[in-house]
Amino acid sequence: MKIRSIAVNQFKKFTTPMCLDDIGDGLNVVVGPNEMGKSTLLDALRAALFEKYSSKAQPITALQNDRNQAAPVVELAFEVDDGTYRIRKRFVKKPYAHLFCPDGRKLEGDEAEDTLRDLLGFDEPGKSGAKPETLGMWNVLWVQQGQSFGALDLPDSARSNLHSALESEVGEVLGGRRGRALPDAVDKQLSELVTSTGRPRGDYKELIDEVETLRSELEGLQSRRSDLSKTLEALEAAQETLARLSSGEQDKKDKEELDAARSRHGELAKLESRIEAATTDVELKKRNLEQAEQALAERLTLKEQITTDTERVEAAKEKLDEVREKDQELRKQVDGLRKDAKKAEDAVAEADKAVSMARRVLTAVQRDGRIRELQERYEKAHEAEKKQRAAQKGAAAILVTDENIEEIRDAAKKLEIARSRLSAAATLVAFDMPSDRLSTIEIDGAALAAGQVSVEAVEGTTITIPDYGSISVQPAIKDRDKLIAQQRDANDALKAALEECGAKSVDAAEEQLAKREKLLRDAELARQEAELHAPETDDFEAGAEPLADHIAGLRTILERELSDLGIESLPSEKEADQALATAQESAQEARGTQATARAALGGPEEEMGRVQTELGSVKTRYDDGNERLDKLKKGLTEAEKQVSDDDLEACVTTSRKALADQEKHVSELEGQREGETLPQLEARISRLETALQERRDKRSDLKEKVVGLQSHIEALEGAGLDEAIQQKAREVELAADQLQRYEREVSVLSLLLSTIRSAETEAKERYLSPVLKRVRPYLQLLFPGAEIAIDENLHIMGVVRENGYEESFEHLSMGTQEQIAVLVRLAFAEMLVEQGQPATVVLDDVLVFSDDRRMGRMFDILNMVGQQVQIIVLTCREQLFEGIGGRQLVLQPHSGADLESA
Amino acid sequence: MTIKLIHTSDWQIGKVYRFVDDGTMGLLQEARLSAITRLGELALEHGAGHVLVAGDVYDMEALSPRSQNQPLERMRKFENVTWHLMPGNHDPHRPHGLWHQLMRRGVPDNVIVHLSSEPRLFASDGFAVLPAPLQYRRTLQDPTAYMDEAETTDGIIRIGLAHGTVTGFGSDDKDVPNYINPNRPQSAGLAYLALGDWHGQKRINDKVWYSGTHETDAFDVEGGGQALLVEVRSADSAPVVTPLKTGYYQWITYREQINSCEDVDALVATLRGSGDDLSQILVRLFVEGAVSLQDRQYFEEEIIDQVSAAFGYLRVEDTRLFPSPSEEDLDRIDRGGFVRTAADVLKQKAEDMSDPEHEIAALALQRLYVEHMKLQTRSQ
Repeated sequence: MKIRSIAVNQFKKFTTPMCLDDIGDGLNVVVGPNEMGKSTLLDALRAALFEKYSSKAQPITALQNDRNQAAPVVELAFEVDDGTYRIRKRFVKKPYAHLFCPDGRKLEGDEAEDTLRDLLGFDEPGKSGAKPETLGMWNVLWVQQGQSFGALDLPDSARSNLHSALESEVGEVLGGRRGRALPDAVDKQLSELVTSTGRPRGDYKELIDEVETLRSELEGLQSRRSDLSKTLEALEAAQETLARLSSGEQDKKDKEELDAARSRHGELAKLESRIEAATTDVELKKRNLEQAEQALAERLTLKEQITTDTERVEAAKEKLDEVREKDQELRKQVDGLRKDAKKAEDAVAEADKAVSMARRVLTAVQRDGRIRELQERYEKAHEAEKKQRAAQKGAAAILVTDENIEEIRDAAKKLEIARSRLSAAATLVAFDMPSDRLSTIEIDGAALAAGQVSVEAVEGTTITIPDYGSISVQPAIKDRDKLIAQQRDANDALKAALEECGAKSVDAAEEQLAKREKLLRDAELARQEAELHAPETDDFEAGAEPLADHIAGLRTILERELSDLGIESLPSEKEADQALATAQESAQEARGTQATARAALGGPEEEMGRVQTELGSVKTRYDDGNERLDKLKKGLTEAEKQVSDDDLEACVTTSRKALADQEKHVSELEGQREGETLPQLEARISRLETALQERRDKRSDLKEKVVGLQSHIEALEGAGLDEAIQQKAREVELAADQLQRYEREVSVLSLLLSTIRSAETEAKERYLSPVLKRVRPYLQLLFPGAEIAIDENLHIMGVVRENGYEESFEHLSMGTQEQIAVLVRLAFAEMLVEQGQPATVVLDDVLVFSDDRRMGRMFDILNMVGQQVQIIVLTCREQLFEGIGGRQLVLQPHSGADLESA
Repeated sequence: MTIKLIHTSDWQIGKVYRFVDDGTMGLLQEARLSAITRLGELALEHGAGHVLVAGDVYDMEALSPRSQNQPLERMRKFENVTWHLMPGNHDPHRPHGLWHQLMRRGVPDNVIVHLSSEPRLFASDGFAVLPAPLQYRRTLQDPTAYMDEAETTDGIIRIGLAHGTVTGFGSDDKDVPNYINPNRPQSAGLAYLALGDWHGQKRINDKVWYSGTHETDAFDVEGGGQALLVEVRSADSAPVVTPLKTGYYQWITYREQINSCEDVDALVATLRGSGDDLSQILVRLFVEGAVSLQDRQYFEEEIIDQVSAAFGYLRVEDTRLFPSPSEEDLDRIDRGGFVRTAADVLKQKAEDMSDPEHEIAALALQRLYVEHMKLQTRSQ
């Protein structure tokens, strides 16, 4: 559908006929300030199409102008497939509805409105006027001011309109209300069995626990049953054993054996005691024999000892003599060698003394040389000091100093200045005449100096020329007396200065000064020379006198040395050196001789020490041997006196025989043991006694055990274990069967539910794909990478961002909500238009929350959609919407008289 | 003089029925005791002074005192009937075992317990019982072998009482446990050998019979729920043996093909025609075939929910009853929409035998159908 024009009269604020013409196919824009009546235009559109002309409902009466209460008139021209229709309606007063069809028919009243409804697909409004429910799709496509954001309000009629559009594209894919109830019903059944995470719950869970409990109870019963079986077997075995033990045959046999063992044990014990006594006797006899043999042996040993010792003492005597002789020889040899050594030692002391003497002479010679050297230096220093003193004296005699020469020079200068002034003022008398004549001229009685050719006259001067007379010159000089006085003062001052320092003239004074300076320089040179010859040392101060004192000291030392040495004169240094070297050589030689003598003494002295020691020990050995031998001999004599050798031998023979007899007796007794021993018999007795006792104990134990087992069996048999096991096993089986049914039920329901759910999801995706397909390219322009989620009721659920994160619609910003809602509306409209259904989008005052970038993109999108769908944008934001493009429409006065009010 | 005996065996008191519910199990156990009373009544009715129980009086060795005493108390009431009990393979005579306990506590005067393999003479009645009690669950020697050598007073009728397996059918192998030579009457001069162990009644030869259990206890037992009236005239002649009904419950197995709702209807008719008192009948029903979801649902409603209530017990084995969802089934769920998509997915999965979940898928599809129908019913 394309709206072509709309005209109004007496409609709300429009009290004169106004119209909007030339509405284009695509994007149209009506720009005007607030209060211009844009929203009123939208109201007019809605009234022309959707409101009943005959209605007196409040929304209809509200279309009247507030003041004049005239009847509102509206006319709308629109174009559909079969041509252009015009609907004109007057409301409230003398209302009518006229529909002008493309085929020329003019329909009136309800017929006009019915036709319109069929044509555009909306419902008849109720008594209170048109409502969103009755507007159908138009409610979605025509957005009033302030309603463009928030979730889309889809009335059922609109939804069915869209659903039929969607189904005509993708076919029937949803299951209707029953289809929606089915997964819920299955889910409900499943949720009674398992939790949302698939864990058993309720009866199912209880059954699992029950099966577990039953199984463990069954195991308990089975183990008690096996206990019973084992107890029965144990009882049978115990009774068999008891029967065997109770027969008494073994006891009898053991008792007989025991008695025999006991009697044999008694016999053997007696025999053993006899053997023991005989054996003791053997030991006694053995000891007797040993004693006899030992006495005899001791006698023989003593004799042998005496022989041996006698030999040893003789040998010691020989050795002693030998050593003594050797000692004598050694003593002689050592004495000789010791004398040699002493001699060598004396020679060394002598030589060392000579060396010391020679060294002291050399020292004295060197000291003497040093004294002479210092003496020379002293004399030079002394001379220089004398010169220094003379120069200092000369300088001190001259009175001209650096200070008073300045005074003289100043006075001379002042005199010169006074003279020159006078000379300049003086009258110059020049002479031009040969020199021989000139020499004759006298000035004030005095001849001219040689070469003098002029005279300056200050005062009256008389020039006498011989032969001619005299010329008197009287110069007229201004201040002549003052100048002369100045000159005289200057001359006096100079004279006084010269006198003060005893000089006759300035030149003489200068000469004196030069002389004084020279003398001072000479004194300094002489001082330096003296210092050079007699410098300061560690031993004495600088200067000639300290040096002289030092020399005197050295002389004293030298004199003492000479007196010590006992010599009158000193040899030369060279001689002294040579004497020292000779003495040292002799000393070295003497030392060599001494070392040789000492070395020769070492060996014999050591040998002599060794021989002395040997001599001592040999002597002791000899003395000791002698003493012991005496003792032995005395002992033997004593012993022989007590028992003779023959008696000792007879005693040994008797003892040997007694021992042999006793040993034979013991061996006879041992033969009576017959291979048995007491421990063996005791072990047998003990074994048999134990066996008998154990059998007795075992019997009584078994009797007790049998009683215990019997009572245990009686306790168990009352429980009817086989029966209980059978019954429990049955319960386990039934419960396990039931459990299996539950498991199967869960599997069945889970599979059913997941199959239904995935079919549902897939169906929804397929179902909504036409809307999503159309929205997607526009969405990409605004939100790259994003998708919107729409449920099967065409509600916008949210936005799935590029990263897969889904934001619910309500959480988006107002601007974004509005933009997305507008996009979806545009997509709906596109879809409807493509399927030949009437659709025009009217947007009143939209996109006010959009930023510049989004605004630009939205304009692009509106222009894109505008190529298929007619869009009318109403806005008061002239500047904001400048770039929107499309056709700009202007509200104009309407000229025709067909909109007459009432 | 004719000796009249009632031959019974395999009472197996204390038997536990694993597959039935508690209530049914109580009834089945009670029936085994009631049948003892019936035996006593039959003995009186036919003038038989002795009831020979050929082993397996009890189902197991370790029984509760109540289970031990219940049959004894039933027997006590028939003062004029002598009851002969003997250990079988289920209740062998072990030292300090079940029989030891019974003997220690004492049994009614009219109850004889044969615990040793030796003849016991009932001189006034003119016969001796030669019992072959079992000491073990399994024994590899013929427990009746001693009878050949056992001596009794001349002129006394020898009646053998044993529990085990004979050859002649089934296995020829003499090494089977508890083997009993069926020719024992000839070798041991027995007028009759009363056998127990097989729960179905069976004649082995003129003188050797299995009485069968007095109350049938399983579906695969044929000829159970009976006893035998044995009339012995002489040692040589064949005794007159007459089966007597003692059992209460009938155990029936059906194997049916179901492929349509008509088949279900036919099965309902068959089941209802099983007997006069269906509550005395226990049914094991094997069904096989392929049914649509609707027919399957119909089967569930008619057979499992409805008819089964008539029987003492009905067990359905339907592992070979395969679902075969029809296009109508699926259309009934929905012609389009995602529910139909889910149904198609499940159908495909169920038909794919290589899919490990195909059985679950078939059940899920059936469930989808049921749930869908429930919602439909609710919304109507």
